[in-house]
Amino acid sequence: MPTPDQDNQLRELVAHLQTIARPGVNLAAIPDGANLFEVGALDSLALVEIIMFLEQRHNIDFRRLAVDPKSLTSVREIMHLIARDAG
Amino acid sequence: MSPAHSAQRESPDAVDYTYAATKRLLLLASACALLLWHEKYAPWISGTGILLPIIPALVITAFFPKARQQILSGTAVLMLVYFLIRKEIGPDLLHQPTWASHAFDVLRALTWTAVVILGLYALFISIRVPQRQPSLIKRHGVLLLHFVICAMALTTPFWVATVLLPVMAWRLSYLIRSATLGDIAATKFSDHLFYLIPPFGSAFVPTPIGKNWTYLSRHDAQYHPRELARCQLAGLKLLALAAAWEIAGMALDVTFFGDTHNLMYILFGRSSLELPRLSAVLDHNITNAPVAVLSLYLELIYTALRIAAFGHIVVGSIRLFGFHIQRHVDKPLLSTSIIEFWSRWTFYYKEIINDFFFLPAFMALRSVDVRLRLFLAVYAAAFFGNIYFWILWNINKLLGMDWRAIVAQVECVAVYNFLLATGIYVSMVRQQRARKDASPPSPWAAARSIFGVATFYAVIHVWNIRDSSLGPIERLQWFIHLIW
Repeated sequence: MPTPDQDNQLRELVAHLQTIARPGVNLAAIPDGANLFEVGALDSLALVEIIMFLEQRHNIDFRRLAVDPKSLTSVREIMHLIARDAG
Repeated sequence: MSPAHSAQRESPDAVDYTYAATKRLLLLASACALLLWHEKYAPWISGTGILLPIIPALVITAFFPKARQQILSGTAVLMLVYFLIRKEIGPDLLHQPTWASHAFDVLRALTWTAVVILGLYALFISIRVPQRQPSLIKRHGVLLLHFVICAMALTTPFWVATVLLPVMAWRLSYLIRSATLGDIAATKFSDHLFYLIPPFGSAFVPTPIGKNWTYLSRHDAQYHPRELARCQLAGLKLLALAAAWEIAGMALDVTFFGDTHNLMYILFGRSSLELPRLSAVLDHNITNAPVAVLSLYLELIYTALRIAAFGHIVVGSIRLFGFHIQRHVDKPLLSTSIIEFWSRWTFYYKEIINDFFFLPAFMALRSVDVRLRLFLAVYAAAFFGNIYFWILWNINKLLGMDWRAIVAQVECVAVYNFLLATGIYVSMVRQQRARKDASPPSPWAAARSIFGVATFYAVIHVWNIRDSSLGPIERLQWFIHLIW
């Protein structure tokens, strides 16, 4: 059961991803576990924006973590990282 | 990954058809026939024999699917032996007058095979479990690997160090990267042997198509019969598409460049426009605008056809074994931005530059201003990364030159990559701005973008032509003369 904090984080993340998604894509209609790059919702440049969002909003430092940023392909994966490593 | 890939281009009816066991034999026979065609006509592959061992491996895998890994590993080892013997004796392997006189060469090739496989095994064992990795490998494993490879290439007289290792460098880099992320702890050594098969991007081309076991296993369709049918059908289609691009390349060669050695020259009634290739346009300082401009665009199209045919053969073969991986080349000439073109031109090459240069640089520059951070990361990747990749790939050739010749070679590569990096950076910034405009571009705007992107790549390709003897300044002078 997600906590209210996690609900807020999820809403905020989806809202941010919507701003960097390809035109015409509705992220709310895509399942949480779907690979957003494979379904064509995001382009390769979006990864840079996701990294910056996680660094700035959640204080995640990829230099310290043994995480492949390219594994951040779905809303679920990103939420998992936030829950685990947010500073 | 492109949206087109995920759109599942194969129709459900065709998948159902392929799914039926008897039809799969038809698919297998078609694939073998196409591989034989490519062995004869494919660019860079023709006459090398490297596709032939894939045919029996495919046939055996069709009857013993559970033994796929073992079959592929065995094929990889046999091909490594073949590749090393060919290197020792020469390309005309099957027509040696006296094999006995080459007994020592064969023995040496077998010894090298054992050394390479044992070396790989030692590396695998030492990095497999993250907790047991030496801290230097854990922190700087890829950097250390490249330092060792460069040091060996520069100091060792053996061609295995100057040719084979630099080509294998990126496969090994992916292996180390997966190991530090803990992705290979549960794998066996044999899982990592099969991507040593030369046409899959090792010992032949340095780009590791299909990356590594971690990436391939994520795209493994073998355990879902319908997905496997879809994957193999997609592989067969790529092999057929590669044949179409080869024929189109031959037609272009004959129609415009007058290649008299081409079979189609006779079919086309021995007529041709006899246009010069771009290298000849540069070397003879041809500034006749229609000829020069046509040569610029034709060179880009011709190169795209050849690269697409090669990429489709490799990805098509890998898909036939049940790994539904992304295309290496995916309609680059229809790209509407410079960055999109770069991703579609040679996907797995772009991934190397992205994985080992762009992302590490971008993450390391966290404290830098956002715009400057992006700028530095792009140049670290598209400029420095590309030059390093090229030097490592050509290190054997460069070692045989004096320093002036080396500088002359690297100068053009540097100019080309500087222009490329600048284009990519500008394209990234424009793409970020374009996101604010939610409406998709009109067909006319998209057509203009496609033309603009093709023109950019056609022009910078002037500094990427290897056959011309001109230096970068002379090429710039030629270009200024052309547009003035």
